[in-house]
Amino acid sequence: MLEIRNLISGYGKLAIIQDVSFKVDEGDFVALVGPNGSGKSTLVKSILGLTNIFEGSITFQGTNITRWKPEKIAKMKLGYVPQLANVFPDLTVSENLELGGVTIRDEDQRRHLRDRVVELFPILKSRPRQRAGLLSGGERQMLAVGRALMAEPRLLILDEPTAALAPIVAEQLLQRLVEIREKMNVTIVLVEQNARKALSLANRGLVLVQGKSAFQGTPDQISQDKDIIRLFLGELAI
Amino acid sequence: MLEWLAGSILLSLFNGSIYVVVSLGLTLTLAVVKLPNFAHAEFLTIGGYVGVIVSSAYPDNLLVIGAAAFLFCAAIALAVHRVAFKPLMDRKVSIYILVLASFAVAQFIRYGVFSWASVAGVLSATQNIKVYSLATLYNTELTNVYALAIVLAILISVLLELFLKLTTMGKSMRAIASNFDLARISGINVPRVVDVMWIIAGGLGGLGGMVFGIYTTVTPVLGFNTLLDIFAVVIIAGLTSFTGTIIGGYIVGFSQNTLMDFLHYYFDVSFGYQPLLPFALIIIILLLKPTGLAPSSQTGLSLIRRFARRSSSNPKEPEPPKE
Amino acid sequence: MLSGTAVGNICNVSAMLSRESIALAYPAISVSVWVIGLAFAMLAGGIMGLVVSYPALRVKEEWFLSMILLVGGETFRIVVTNTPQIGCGFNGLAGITTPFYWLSSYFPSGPLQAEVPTGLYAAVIVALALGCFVFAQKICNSPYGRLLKSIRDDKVAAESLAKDVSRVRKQIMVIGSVMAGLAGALYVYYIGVATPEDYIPALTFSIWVMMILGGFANNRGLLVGTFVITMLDRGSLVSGILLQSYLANLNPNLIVYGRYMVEAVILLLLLVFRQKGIFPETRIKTKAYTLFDFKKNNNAEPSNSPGEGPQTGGAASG
Repeated sequence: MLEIRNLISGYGKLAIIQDVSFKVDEGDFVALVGPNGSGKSTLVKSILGLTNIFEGSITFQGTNITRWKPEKIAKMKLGYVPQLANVFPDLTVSENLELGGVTIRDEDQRRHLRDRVVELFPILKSRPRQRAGLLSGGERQMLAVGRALMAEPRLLILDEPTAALAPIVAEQLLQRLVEIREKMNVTIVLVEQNARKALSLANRGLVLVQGKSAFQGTPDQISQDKDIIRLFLGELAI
Repeated sequence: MLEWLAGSILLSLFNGSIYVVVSLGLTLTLAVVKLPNFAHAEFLTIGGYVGVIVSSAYPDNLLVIGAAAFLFCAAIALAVHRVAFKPLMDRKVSIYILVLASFAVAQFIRYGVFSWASVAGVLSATQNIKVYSLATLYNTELTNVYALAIVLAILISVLLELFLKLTTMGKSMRAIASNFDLARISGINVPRVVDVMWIIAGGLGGLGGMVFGIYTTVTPVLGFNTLLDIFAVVIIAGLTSFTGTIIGGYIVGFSQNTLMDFLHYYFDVSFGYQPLLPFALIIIILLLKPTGLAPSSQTGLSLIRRFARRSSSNPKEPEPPKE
Repeated sequence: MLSGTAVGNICNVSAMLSRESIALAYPAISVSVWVIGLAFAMLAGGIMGLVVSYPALRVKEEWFLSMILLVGGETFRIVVTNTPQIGCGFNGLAGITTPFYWLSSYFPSGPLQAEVPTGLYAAVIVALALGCFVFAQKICNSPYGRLLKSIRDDKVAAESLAKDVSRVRKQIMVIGSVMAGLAGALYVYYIGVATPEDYIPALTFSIWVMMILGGFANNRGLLVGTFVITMLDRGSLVSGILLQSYLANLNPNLIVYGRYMVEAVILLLLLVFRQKGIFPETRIKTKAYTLFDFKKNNNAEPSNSPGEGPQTGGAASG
């Protein structure tokens, strides 16, 4: 579904991602983990066309989207929830959802999608006219995920959606992701600080260290490899 | 007593209405593309001159003249955006560079108009639109120009509000203003929305200039002379608030007329100092409350809704639940 | 800025003529009044700079500063225009002669009579301009200049090093305003009239174009930029006169308007295609630069990151 080959990318002239190759199959739940500053966010931003790509290629559903503009990639049914500023704070909840589905031309389809999203996150139904900037942290993340789902993505990329959330809210949100994957048949790439939690949900994992792919495999393989845990994920993750 | 007051208030309302129409365009520019466009006032000049030309062919036909002023200035604004501002914004240059560029655009337009007006012999011109009295109140004549400006300001405010709140294009515009990067990756066609924004901004400038040009003589510095007044309005408004712009427009209008008359008749201040009043407003606001007098990014409907909620049984804003 | 000291009405024609006759008859008064005028102009400029710096340095958004300065300039122009007591209001003050006007009594009537005093005065202006240039170069290439650049590039970083940013900014605004006051006074004695309508924002704009054309923060570039724009100014005037002899219908104003438009286009092209100007900013040359230049001086204290060594002195220049 998504294939990254020998990617070198970064900001300005600085390469942060150094030669990463990695593949996501249809229906996967990929956990992208690694220490702070390892380039997790940069890697997903590269997929969305938000960085400078120096070398390598990115293919999504058979189309080479390397160096495409973000606006064009957004129409490829590739959903993205950024880490920060992931809603329109001055717009209402319902306007946020509506603009999430701006690429869907068909009115009925949009209404249908909206119903499904609201079903997943009932909290969004209760206050359609509230400004997104006034939502609580958890609600805002749910709105951000809902907004991304409004574009009917085949692949949903989430950049640390649980950062700065209370553990119980984070847990709820992650459970929703599992639900989304099953019910809506969406492939998920989840960037997470909490490696153990993410790996427990995922069926594949990618460990990124200093812009390089340190390990790829199933969660079991990663959690059995004591070296990787000790070196990259911290003792507590065991 | 106070025989000047009624006329002065009417003039304040008229001037304020012009400021509202013109400044709403500037507020839009500031909100959506974050550009303090010092060339915005030049649209006023162009609109005034379009009024002069078109009114000579279609005298008194306000609809045609107004549409021509709107469309011509919209085209100029779009051209300026494509030629000057877009190349700079695509490179994400600093705001200083953008401000300098807008000064350059303003100077180019201003002296372009000067050159043309000098050749055409219209360095000082009037529009061929009849001004007549509709009613007389307290020895003050309510002319059709005053009524036109006031009605236009209300109409434009309401239409703009509905456009921004109810149409997908308007919502996209607010989304770009609210979070530019997210708007891009959400698949909103940002270049197209920004083009529409420039069309509206330039058009409103031209429309305001055309109406102002019925009242006053059109000269190539018509816009430049109101530049700082318009900036006073948006600074009072906190740069991006539409409700604030409407309030600010009338504050500047009243300060320039009613307050000035008051200072003149009671403190013997010369009318020559009139332009200093908006300047004083700018300095005071920037020093005391740089966020402006209005709550930022709040448009009229939501403000009304808030008042409505406050007066209904549920007096409190819904508090964001704490976690 | 104005040195008229005649008692009574200084604005009418007889006052103007008497100023000229005094200037012709008393060389000592003429020159000393000029010197005092310059001193007062510099003082007034400095005070203006200080006054305007108060609001300008307290605003939140960057571009508000340009707003405040525009407001300040326009305020001054409106006050002078509408207050006849200051500078004869809108019409301005005429009959200001160059300090060497009395020299003309030593020459027979002819071209020399007018040209010698003016030429001598022009030479004095050039000398003073060179003096200002050397002064500005000295400032820029001093530790103080390094401080200025560091504040420009990163105000917070400069503050964290215990530099009083707003004091330095105020100082530099006063220095700049003193120079501008000097320039204004020199100009007024040259052209012979002082009217508020000469100092419109288009003049400020020309100065910006000069600055950016030569290169931001680069005094040498500024000389080139000034030369180019002044040539454009004078050249357009001369060509206008020449053209008029061929084209009788030519509107002389078009030349002036055309020049302003050309300046605007130059600025836009520079901003889009070459923001650095003709000469990009250069590295500051101060003692600190040689001190930390590790290639020359290996005895200096060991560096944690050798690669940064040669850059330390120029760090402020970004």
